[in-house]
Amino acid sequence: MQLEIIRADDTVTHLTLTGRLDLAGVQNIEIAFLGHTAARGKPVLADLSGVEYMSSLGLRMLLGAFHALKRKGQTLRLFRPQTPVRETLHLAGLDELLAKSDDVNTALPSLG
Amino acid sequence: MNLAEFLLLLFAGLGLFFIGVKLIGSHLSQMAGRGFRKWILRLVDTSWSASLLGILFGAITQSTNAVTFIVSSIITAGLVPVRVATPVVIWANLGTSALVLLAAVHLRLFVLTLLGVIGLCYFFNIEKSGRYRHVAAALLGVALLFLGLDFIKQGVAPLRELQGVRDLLGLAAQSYGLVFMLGAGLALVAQSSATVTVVAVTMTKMGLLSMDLTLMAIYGAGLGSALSLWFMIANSAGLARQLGYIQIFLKAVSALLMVLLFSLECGLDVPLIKAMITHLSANPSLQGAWAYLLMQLLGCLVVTVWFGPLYRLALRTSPTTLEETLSKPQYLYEEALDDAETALDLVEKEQLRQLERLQHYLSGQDRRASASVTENDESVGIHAANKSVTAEIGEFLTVLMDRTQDRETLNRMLNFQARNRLLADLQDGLFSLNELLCPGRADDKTEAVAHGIVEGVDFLVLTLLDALKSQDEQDRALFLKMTADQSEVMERIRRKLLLSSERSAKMHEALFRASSLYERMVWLLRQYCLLCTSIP
Repeated sequence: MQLEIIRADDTVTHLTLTGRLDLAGVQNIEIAFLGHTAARGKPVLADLSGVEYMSSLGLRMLLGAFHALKRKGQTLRLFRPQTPVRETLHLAGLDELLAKSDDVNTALPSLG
Repeated sequence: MNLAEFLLLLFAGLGLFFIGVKLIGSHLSQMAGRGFRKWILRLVDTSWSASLLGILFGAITQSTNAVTFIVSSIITAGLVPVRVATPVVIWANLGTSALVLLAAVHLRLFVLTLLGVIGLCYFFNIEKSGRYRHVAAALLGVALLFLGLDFIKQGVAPLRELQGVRDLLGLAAQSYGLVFMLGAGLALVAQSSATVTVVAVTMTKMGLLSMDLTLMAIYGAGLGSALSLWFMIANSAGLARQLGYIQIFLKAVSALLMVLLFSLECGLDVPLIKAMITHLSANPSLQGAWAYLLMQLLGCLVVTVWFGPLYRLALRTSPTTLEETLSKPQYLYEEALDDAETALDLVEKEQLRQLERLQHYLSGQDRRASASVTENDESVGIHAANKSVTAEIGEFLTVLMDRTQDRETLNRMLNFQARNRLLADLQDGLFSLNELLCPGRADDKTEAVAHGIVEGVDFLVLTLLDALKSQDEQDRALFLKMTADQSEVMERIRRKLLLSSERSAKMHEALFRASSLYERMVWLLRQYCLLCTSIP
């Protein structure tokens, strides 16, 4: 599981996740992910196009970051998930976290 | 009546007898509710009272298996240690002698009266009342059992006149070993030494068996009963097996010791068991009954003296199972019932503990590191253990409600009862979901949909737990939002399933069932959260 920061400035954190968000994957990146999202306290756009599998622990990590950002008046948006991952997000009731657009140019400005 | 009719009477008598034994055992086992167990708990505080209670139970139930079941449920619920409760099981063996003693005396009038009274109970629908249902059915069992014995006596009567039967008995009389093995074989089939003894005693009464042969049949039945139990516990584990080993030792040792005493008495002409039973009664059938009682008494005494080493050996051979460990509630204890508010706090903790266990049900790819990874066959046992704790919480709440007058506390209790019902439904639902979708049962084509469902419901369980533990209103509000309406998502998934032709019809059906179950799980989790939110 890999986490890559595309952009991190005063207005937004744009990152990509690649690999399987299963138990091992979450253990790998959780601290870094929460550091770049919840701790920074900036709006986050997380690109999930490279995520092949989403487990309940992965969902929990995303919800934890969303919750922490919400308390700080910020938001987290999930971007371009693969169909099975999108389905899992729907089933988990996390539709709210999905970005309205799959276009990064549209998704980024909407965070503010 | 011709011979065929007598044989049919004998056959019907045996049938009635077996029905009676089953009815008594099963209905008395179902009377083992919390009140009944509490009554037992008061009585087992000393080994003497526990032994007396065992004799009484054995006499009433006529089944050491039924007594073992009741005692196991008390031990498994963590209400009393094994060492304290085991004398009840041991001495129940002696109690079973009551049937044999009663069968040796004339009981026809008693049986006919009892049947009439029970018939009236059924006519007035008393057997339908929750309170007396099991009592009425157990009494019907007693009546059928003795009616069966009466049939057997009538059916056996003409047999002694038959030349073939006389020849057979003459042959058997030449070999005690043959009669011993016959007794053992019959007890193995009937799974009860008392049953075989009653039949043997009845035959003695009708003059078909001599006293020596009756004794050998009875001792053989003792060993046969031990063998039967050996087969019965082959697939069990933990406490059931521990108690089973102790019972097997008791039955086998008592039978073999009686054979030894019989041999010494016949061979060396020393007055022992035969002399004692002749002294106790001149009636041959009662003598057989006394021999059976002495055999049980001998076994009980031997096991009581050797209980410590025997129990340690049984524990080493069959350690306590995970299911038994999980079946014990952690926070519920009898004394807490005296203070309703404290008791409810404990119920809440126990229910939260049960809720935490829900995450162990699903065999998704991603199991919690802290959760014990279980095989499919183990999951059945764990589910049973969880259900047992939930039932225990339910009974605890029922007793608490009976003692509470305060309206506000009663409302709180009703809330906890509703939560308990949801917990039980969640346990059943998740168990079924796991059965449908656990790895190995779904193929590659179903894997993606199955993953979504398994991980989705697992996530919702975790999220509810987090929300309840944090006691943050925002967390609960978010959870309620997440679980508000899943119908649109599920409809979309079902449409996709319908369009796909790659899966087998069986997998289609499994996924449809899983999607319905998922919707139900989400609804149940949401209701649980709402119940936790509705009271302070």
